[in-house]
Amino acid sequence: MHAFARLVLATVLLVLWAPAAHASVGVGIQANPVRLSGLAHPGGSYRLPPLYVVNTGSQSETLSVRVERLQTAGKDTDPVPGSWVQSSWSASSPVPAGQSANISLELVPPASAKPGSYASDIVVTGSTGATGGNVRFGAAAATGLDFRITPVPPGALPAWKLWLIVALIVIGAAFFSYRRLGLRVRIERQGRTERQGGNFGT
Amino acid sequence: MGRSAILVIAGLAVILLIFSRHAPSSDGQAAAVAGGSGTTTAHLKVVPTIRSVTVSPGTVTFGNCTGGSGYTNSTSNTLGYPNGSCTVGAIGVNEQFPITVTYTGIPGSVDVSGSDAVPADSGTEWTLCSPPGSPHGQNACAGAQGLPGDDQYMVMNFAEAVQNAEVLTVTPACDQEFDSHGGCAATPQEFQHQVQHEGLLLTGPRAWDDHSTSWTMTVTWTAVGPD
Repeated sequence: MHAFARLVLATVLLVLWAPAAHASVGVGIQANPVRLSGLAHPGGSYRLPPLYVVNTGSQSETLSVRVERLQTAGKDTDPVPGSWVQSSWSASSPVPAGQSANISLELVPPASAKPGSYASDIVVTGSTGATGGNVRFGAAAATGLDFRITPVPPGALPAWKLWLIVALIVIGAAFFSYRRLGLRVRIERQGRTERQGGNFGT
Repeated sequence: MGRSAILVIAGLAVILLIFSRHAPSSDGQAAAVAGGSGTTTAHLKVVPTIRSVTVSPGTVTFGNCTGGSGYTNSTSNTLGYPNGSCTVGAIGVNEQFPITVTYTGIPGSVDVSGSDAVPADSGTEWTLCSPPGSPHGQNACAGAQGLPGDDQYMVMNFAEAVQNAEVLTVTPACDQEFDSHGGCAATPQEFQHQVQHEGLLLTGPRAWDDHSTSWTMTVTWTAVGPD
């Protein structure tokens, strides 16, 4: 009986130990580069196509994203400063083993950005936070990032100014319509409640 | 007898009718049934659109330590100074390569990089260094004969069927050990896997300032596009 209990205990320990011993860390990334469909202008803000990543390891991983120019980037291009690419991706939210995620990215070149072709790599690194040994292994995967910046055409307005003008037009139109239609808002008190209503004046 | 013959003929007629409804037509398509419709599901396999790298196990511990001098000689599992060394795996007669690096997907290449070593008390780190004059050398080792100086250390990776070990740098660089034919190319057949088994050789500092007895470092393999 004791021998049987030991056998059961050894089996349980083996089952518990085996996954940790064979744990792996892995990251996959889309092979197609992230490419802006169109030109970018200094001071603008552009939504890049989402970046597809997958956890190819055997346990949950946190994925961090950075922009770095690796040796494979185009030689006749300028490197992309890391601060130009922003992401709302939270590196603290783990991705389960075998699961994928789409990371949204935004290109925000400053107003002082030099016109030209830019190329770098988007590097996604996976880590498990395992604490078993004194050497931790990381897995990463990289794909290209390229776009072109051209000067703002003469007479053209930056995107934020266009949005501001559109907003002012909409507010002005609403105000004009309000005055033109003679719309009135009357507040009546009924008991302890307030009601808001409106009628078209005659 | 006559009744049995009729039954046999009727049975054969039913069987023939069933077979005729399920027999394929001469062009391989199912025979059309008046007033009905048919659906064929076709399956198509396409090439993968991702590249990935997977490293197993997730963590290891250095061992087989040698070197140092006097009272600060290495023991089997602790690094001594000056310039003791430890390994993950083994080079030489009983070679061992406990780290498995697997590249999957469309052809590309594999980079590798190391990190500075962090002591348990988060004090003074050891900087990852390279022998002076090495191609990817960023932080030159300041010790004698190109060995690490104070608070510096060096890591090399070695692999199955590859003769020379390579020095790791903080910046990802071509893993010259990944392809057993030389270089870091990853060209898995049929878009499946390309596997390499590797080990690590660490050379420690001439001396160090921090008093921690446990240090942690990270080695990262990166799947990138073709060179």
